[in-house]
Amino acid sequence: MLEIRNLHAGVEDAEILHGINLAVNAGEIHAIMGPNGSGKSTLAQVLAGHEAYSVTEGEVIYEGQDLLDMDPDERAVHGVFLAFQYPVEIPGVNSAYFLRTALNALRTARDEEEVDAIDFLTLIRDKLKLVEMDEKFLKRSVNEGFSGGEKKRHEILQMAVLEPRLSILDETDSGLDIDALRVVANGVNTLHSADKATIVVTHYQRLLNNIVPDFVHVMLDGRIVQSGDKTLALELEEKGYDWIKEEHATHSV
Amino acid sequence: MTGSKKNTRHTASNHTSWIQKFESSPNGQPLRALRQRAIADFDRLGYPTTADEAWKSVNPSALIRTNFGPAPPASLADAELEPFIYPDLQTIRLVFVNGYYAPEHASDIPEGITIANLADVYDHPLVKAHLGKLAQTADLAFTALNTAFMRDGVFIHVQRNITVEAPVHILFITTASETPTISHPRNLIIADENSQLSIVETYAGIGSAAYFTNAVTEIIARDNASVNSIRLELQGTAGLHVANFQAQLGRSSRMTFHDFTLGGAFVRNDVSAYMRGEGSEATVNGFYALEGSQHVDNYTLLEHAEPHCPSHELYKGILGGSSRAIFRGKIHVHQKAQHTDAYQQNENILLSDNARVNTKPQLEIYADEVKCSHGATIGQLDENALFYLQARGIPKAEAKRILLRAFADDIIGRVTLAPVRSHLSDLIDTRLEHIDARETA
Ligand SMILES: Nc1ncnc2c1ncn2[C@@H]1O[C@H](COP(=O)(O)OP(=O)(O)O)[C@@H](O)[C@H]1O
Ligand SMILES: [Mg+2]
Repeated sequence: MLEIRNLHAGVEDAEILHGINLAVNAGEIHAIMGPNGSGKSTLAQVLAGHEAYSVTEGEVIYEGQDLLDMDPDERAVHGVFLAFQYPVEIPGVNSAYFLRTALNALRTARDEEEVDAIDFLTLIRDKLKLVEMDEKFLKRSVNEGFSGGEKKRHEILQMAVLEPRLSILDETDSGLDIDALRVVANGVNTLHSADKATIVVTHYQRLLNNIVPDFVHVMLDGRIVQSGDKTLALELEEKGYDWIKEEHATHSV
Repeated sequence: MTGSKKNTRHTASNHTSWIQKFESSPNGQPLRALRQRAIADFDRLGYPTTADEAWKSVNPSALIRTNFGPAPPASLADAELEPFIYPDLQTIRLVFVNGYYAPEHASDIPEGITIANLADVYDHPLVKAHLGKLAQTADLAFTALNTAFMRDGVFIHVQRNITVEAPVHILFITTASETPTISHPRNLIIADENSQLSIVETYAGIGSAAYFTNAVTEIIARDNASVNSIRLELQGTAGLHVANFQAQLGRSSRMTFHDFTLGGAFVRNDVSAYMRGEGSEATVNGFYALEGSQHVDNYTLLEHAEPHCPSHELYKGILGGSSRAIFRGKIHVHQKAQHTDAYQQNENILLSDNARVNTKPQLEIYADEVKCSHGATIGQLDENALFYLQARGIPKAEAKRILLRAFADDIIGRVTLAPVRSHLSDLIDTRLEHIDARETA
């Protein structure tokens, strides 16, 4: 479904990603772990198409197409979704309007009929249940004044409404208490299926008790330095990132 | 005028012609003393130049070099009026075309309210007592010109305890012609104790020729009165618009003013609310959306003269092309105006590298128990918000529109008259689309 080959990307004169390789197939859940500043969010943002980052080398093939050639909205139309580590506040745009506009933008681009306000309400009520959010959120400005946990649930709500095929969750578990973590994990598990792929970027292996990954990758200084199955996450939890840093340092010498 | 110090700052060639025009003016007789004082003031002041603190940014004499003359009376077809009126809203309507009252477009007037063309009621005791009292001419050249030449406009008197249900809609339409014309609309509005009134002032131009509208509106809200005022400024692309709006608030009275500037080549708005009664409350909000080489100045003054008066002020602007906006927000808190609560904010979005905004609060506070906050922002459209919307599948142009609309809705949403709000909403949508199309072209 997704193939990242030798991806180099960065900002202006600083390269942040120094050759990422990653293949993700439908039905798989991949976890990307790594210390702060290792480039996890940069990778996620590059995949979503943020203009602040430019790709200097390599390619990303998504469902046979050149992902990097698409505008951010086209990527969404093709089923790519990024749950932001830091969801953006949009004053004056209420959540209901935002969600319906996004859904209809996808539907229009796919030559499907738009959802009217009434059908949308039925649909959204169902999705709100999944993330255990109150309907009153729909009337509030997007992310404005939301608590950290509410922002993350709101990301999963968007994912539930837009039904992407490739979901990238950037630290959706950070800053969540155990209840919210359960809600988020349950949402992700419910939305995952054999024809979909999920990449969870996380700092803590705690999430991986709830969302069980098929693969775990460790990112360090803009590279994936180690990959394995879920036991790698446990090992990291036990030994910390220093272990892998040393390991990697010796390897590369 | 003898003995008055001749001012060397007169740069506009047509300055003296105003004095001559005044001498031969046919409507110079009524209110003679007021007019004479005004023209003497104008003679002394001359057109403002950039040497004047209040006109720092733009040299108005350059803008008004054209020799504007009075317009001939003109009529307006119903179809031409249609874009500016509200079919879903019952209003008390008065229409002025090229500065002349057009009674054929006026609607009936209900009980409890006196509404007349100002030129017909110069002898009214309230007109004699109040006209020109708030809008003084000693320092304001354009107000002086207006006062010297004023003729038509609206006089409104709402008697005590009367709530006027239908808003009064006052339309000043200019049908621009080849010879540049000037009009001096003049309004005096008096809301007695406990009364309630809504006013919509529409200033619009038809056509693309140059003209000059120099308007003055004086509002007196007596004790516990409530005046809700909206102004739509939709001048034509070459229209010049100078407007002085001054309100005086009695004890516990409320005045809200919403100003929308969408048209005109050069617009200068002076807005002042003089809180002369304890516990009075003034809300002054404005919105401007500019493109091309439009220049819009908003100079506001919130004058707190008595204790316990809250004031709220929010101006927002969107600028494209090489447009210019200036915001000056003065808050003057008198020594006795304890427990003043004044809030002021000016926010701007620049859609183009060549657009400029100059914003400055000016606080003069002489009381010690005062809550006063102010802030200003000038920035581009939030790139991260734009990306967030795009990442959800919303195309960039649509995402931009959503963000700009949300920015504008903050002001539009405060307009309480629903049909006016939805009209504004459409006007602003069209305008934003136009600005954006020009930016991305
Ligand atoms: N927009 C940006 N501008 C400049 N530097 C950036 C930007 N985004 C990320 N970086 C830098 O790139 C590195 C990786 O950041 P990030 O991808 O956020 O890491 P992670 O998500 O793994 O914590 C950091 O050193 C960070 O400061
Ligand atoms: Mg990160």
